[in-house]
Amino acid sequence: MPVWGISANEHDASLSVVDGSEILFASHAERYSRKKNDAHLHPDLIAAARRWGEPEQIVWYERPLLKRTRKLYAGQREHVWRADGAAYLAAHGLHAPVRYVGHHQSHAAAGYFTSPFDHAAILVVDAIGEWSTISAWEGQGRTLRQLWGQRYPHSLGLLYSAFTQRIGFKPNEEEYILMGAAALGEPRYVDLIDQDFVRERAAPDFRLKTNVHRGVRWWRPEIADNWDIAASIQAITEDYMVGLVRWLAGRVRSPNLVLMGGLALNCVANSKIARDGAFDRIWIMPNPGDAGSSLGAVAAYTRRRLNWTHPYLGENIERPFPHAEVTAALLAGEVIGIANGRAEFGPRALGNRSLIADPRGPETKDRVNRIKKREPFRPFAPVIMAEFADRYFDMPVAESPYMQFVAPVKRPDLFPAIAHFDNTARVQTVRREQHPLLYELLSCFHERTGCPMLLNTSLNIKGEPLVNVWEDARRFQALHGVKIF
Amino acid sequence: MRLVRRLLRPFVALYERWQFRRKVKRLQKRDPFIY
Repeated sequence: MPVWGISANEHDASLSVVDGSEILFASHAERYSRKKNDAHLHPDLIAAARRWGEPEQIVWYERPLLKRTRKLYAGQREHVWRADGAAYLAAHGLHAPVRYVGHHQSHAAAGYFTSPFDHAAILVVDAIGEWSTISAWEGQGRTLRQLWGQRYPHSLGLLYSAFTQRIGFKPNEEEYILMGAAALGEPRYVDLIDQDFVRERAAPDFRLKTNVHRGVRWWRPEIADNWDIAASIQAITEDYMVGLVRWLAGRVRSPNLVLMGGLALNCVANSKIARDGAFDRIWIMPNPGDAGSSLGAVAAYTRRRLNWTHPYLGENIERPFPHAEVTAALLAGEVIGIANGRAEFGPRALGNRSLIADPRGPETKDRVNRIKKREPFRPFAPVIMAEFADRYFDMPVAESPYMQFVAPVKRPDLFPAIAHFDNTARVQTVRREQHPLLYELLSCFHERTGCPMLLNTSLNIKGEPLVNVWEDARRFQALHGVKIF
Repeated sequence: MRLVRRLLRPFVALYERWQFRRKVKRLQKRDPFIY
């Protein structure tokens, strides 16, 4: 009988089904409800999970009672009495026995038990767990041990989200846009932000002077250059993260690092950490935020290594894939969609729910941006055959199969669609055994053009979740005029 | 006068900091929680 892990009732609800060490299914509620970052379980998601049988046990990704104490302290009184944990699940028709694990424990377990390591230092950095905001762990064999932790309201994640809102984006959702915007500015306000907000940020300590849980929209309205604000908060984040990793390297005698929590989606900071070289190997589970904690909750409860082979764990679309036709469309300069195989578990489209295009030429970026209705400054990611990655990019790591690191583009003039303003790109490398369909497509494109990479972005438009089932793909095709295979 | 100003400077800085915090608290109460 399978064990279900559930993360819900806050943001990015998700559900994972695990049997022993096998991950049978994992998906996000937003893909079914079509509401971006949907906080609540959706009946279709539950029905999809039930195809693998009724749960023997459900594991909830955090401790609701402990969380209530923090909410009471924070002043979120309206949240304190709402149904959570077992009561929330019962309201969704789920009556299996429920166990609870800590929020950061779920993150740490999701990272460690899916990693290829038997011994690793683990770092979890997010906005808030129950009380935890930053925590350091050591994983050895089946044991996870917390070494250090920082508590609310001292939170780097909250500060980052607050500044996301300050520069006009949606907090708790559009932090990745702030990261992209940072490349356009200069970090001129680091001292000012330090002076106004930061009491201490010498690793491992991170203390704020004021609680930023209600955002910082009020902060210095006379400063209007949002690019520089973005660059400054990004610089503070990178500086602290690199310091924290160095500190952890001195505490744990292991060459392996596992990074988790929402901040692990910051691929620019990840790359700085990788280049700093405090650890030889880094593993970031492709869904390091709260949605990934549904899987982490099960791992934290069972304390068993999960058989992680790929992130394609969601809804399946079984259709033949016409390589020749797709290659011809790409050569004709078309932007095409792929909706094939099981959906990705995580925020990145890694080839099964992707929009792809020829990355060469100056018009591609604008054309894809028009389809996706997103800000013109934002870059697109390349997907490249792994053996060619070093020829085109200055890679900070040997391979990056989940788009978690950025790398300088060696010839940005040839590939303007995938090079950001700072001439970097968030690279996805592919080997044949990782994704045969995508690798075959890249091979066909390489044979015909000499170019072993394609532009790869998510099959959605701005503000919408990724396409999930074939019906969504057909709707996308009809609305946006993109042929989907 | 200059001496008095110099002697008062740390207290003025403290007062300004206190004012800033009061202002922040007042402004913060208007905004909803971001998480």
